[in-house]
Amino acid sequence: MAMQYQIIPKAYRDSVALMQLSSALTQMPGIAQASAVMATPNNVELLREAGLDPGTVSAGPNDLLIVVQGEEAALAPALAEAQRRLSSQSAAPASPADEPMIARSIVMALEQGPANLALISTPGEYAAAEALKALNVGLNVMLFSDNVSAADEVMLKRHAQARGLIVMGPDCGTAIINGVPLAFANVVQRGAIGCVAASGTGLQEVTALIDRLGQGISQAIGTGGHDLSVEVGGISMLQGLADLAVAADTEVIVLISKPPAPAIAERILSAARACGKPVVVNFLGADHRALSGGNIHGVRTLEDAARAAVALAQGKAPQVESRPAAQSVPVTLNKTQRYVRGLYSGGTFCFEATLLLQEAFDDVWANTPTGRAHRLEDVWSSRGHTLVDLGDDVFTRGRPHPMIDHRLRNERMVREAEDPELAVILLDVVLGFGSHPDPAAEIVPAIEAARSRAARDGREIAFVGHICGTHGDPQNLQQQTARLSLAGMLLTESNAQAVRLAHRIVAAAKAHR
Amino acid sequence: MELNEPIMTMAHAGTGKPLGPSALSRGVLVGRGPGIVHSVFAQAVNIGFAENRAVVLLDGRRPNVPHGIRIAPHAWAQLHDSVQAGDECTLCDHELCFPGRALRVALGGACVWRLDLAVHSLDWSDARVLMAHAAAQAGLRRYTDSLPRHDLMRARFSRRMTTVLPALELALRTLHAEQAGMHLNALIGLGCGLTPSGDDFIIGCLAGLAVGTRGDTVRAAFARRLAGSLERAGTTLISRQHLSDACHLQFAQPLAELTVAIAGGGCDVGQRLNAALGVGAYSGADGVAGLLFALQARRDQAAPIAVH
Repeated sequence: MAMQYQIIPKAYRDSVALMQLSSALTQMPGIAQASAVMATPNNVELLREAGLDPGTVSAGPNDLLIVVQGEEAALAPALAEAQRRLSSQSAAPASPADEPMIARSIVMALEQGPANLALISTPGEYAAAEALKALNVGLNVMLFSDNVSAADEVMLKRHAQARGLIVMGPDCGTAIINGVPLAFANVVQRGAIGCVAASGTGLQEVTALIDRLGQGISQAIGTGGHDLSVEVGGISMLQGLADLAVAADTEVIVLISKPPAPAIAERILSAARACGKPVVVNFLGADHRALSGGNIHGVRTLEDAARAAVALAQGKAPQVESRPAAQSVPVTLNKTQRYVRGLYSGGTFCFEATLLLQEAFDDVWANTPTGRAHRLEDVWSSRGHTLVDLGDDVFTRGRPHPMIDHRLRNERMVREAEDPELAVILLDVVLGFGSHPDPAAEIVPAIEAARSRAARDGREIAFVGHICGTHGDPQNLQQQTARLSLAGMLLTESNAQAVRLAHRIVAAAKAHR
Repeated sequence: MELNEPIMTMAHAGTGKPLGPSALSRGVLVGRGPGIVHSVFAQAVNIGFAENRAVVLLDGRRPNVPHGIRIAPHAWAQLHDSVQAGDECTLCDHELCFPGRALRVALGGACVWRLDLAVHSLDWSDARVLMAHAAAQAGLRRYTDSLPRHDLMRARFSRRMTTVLPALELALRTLHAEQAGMHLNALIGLGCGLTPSGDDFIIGCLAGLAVGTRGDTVRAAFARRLAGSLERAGTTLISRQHLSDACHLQFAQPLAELTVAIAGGGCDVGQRLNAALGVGAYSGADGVAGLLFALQARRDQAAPIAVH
């Protein structure tokens, strides 16, 4: 094949123009390859690598080099065409003409267009001041920042309340407002169910399950974990509830939290009773039956909350108990293997698992214990049935949150595999915005490493978990599910089902001993 | 990194009559004395000076670059329509004159835009920083997945990167300036366009290495040594100036602001990422790729580290 080149001194075009030119020349009859580049030494070398060796060219980095390769007769017309195209091309770069100025303050941002919410994520000591500025210009606030004092939280929430605004947070990691996922949130369809939650992963689990059950979310309002404390008094949850009560697009309301102080719980429940819409209440760890009555539907788990809300939105009576996970377990455990080890990235998932597992076992240990569970003195090593919230401060100091960085959990998985008493490793996998872009890529090698470690001692391990995510999430739920399943992870629909499956595996192994 | 924009005027030299108030800023004037208009684009006019220096005049709607002078849009239209490639001009601290066009741009009132990435701390123990970095990586991946890949040079560039990056990462992690410089030099001038992809990647890399180095003498010295080892002659005049800015640890505003946003773990990373990706056709993405690559290497850096 013949080759010819042309140098056009001091000719400049942007990369798109040059790529278009290369492409157009390559498509001409008789042309096999063509390239138009600035004649830098590295580009000339790269052309050689690509088989377009122009030989010794007397061109410099500021000259345009066009090389064409193909049938002899086609080369000259191709170079003529290149000249023609370059002459007719505008030298304008392909960039938007009216790119807006980047706002450097809340006021500047408002000048660029209307807004009704400010998402604030600054170090804690500055967060209250920024939130106050936002409230003063009429914006609702999502306060992602933590380390905001309780006094500041109360001040901000009252300030907002007086202006008909809401403060979500501090330490509010999840919200979906008017269909827009904020911070750690999943991509859900819009619908008639509104949620207010003092729990980030709790809100993610419920909204994601509602989406997968075919219903949608009107609003998902986070309140921050301290909102239902005695000091704060549930100001944001009450406001969120009031907003959803009058919102025309909300038919069913879901409230999610750890159990509030009794006086605060009563205040919330009173408001819920008076709101005129069915309200599903999941105060994790509270007696859900005692909560129920009238329009209030108390539920025990996050999954139950989602299922009850979906049933109510469909005009049906809610089923308040999750369906058990029916799944065969292709794992053989030996007689020493009897413990579950839960390694969680979501704090609420760990909390829920601790509640559920202690219904079946006595020796449940956790770094964030609740109910009858024991506090793990050394959080770095497990004993009995252990559930660890790896998002707790002690683990994230000097490290990223485990929803983003799986290394700590992966290392722990392999360490757990050394324990001859280990039967089940229990995991959560959180998808959505903010989370790791490809969790399966991180988890699968760790599963394989843990499995091979156990195999050295002639043991197998059951890996059980659930994916908190939707088909709209950027990580591709279907692919994540397929890859984790292929790696032998037993996946259930919800965290509650995963815990129950882990229990069944251990119970079945015990029955065979 | 405040951007104050004082009033500035642009005036015809003949009459001295101002064309109108112009909100302007400028970077460091790297060129001085007589210059030649190198190229005229819709939103940028490049001017070449002695010793391969370049200054770029920018439509005020564009963000700052270290060797740039931003001119308010209404005055920009007049300037843009007046000058042509090959025009002579002279630049001093106070004004830029185009004698052949009877045009001068007064610079005395312009705010000097300069930034220092070193003072913005980078604390990998802060989960928000890691989140911001991961979010930017995910955003870049989504963006690059959407770009066309059929171009021969682009494909070759990608292939070259796959061979260079592992060794470069090791050199960055171990703070081996000589090795890192060698690998980066293999990328200079590589790729299409006015600012070849390799150069954009290097600039991003240097931003990632510069941030948060105040008080960290080892990393600061490494970034300086690496910058000093780059052979800038092997690329276009325009790109050479960008590289030169980067070697002085000065970067274009979108890239710098993304770097600061990641280092600060701010929730504005998405916005900053979009702004940085929006520069040129591929330049933004290549620069961001370099930045995130260098940050990843710093994140994974093993300690203690031998300095070469």
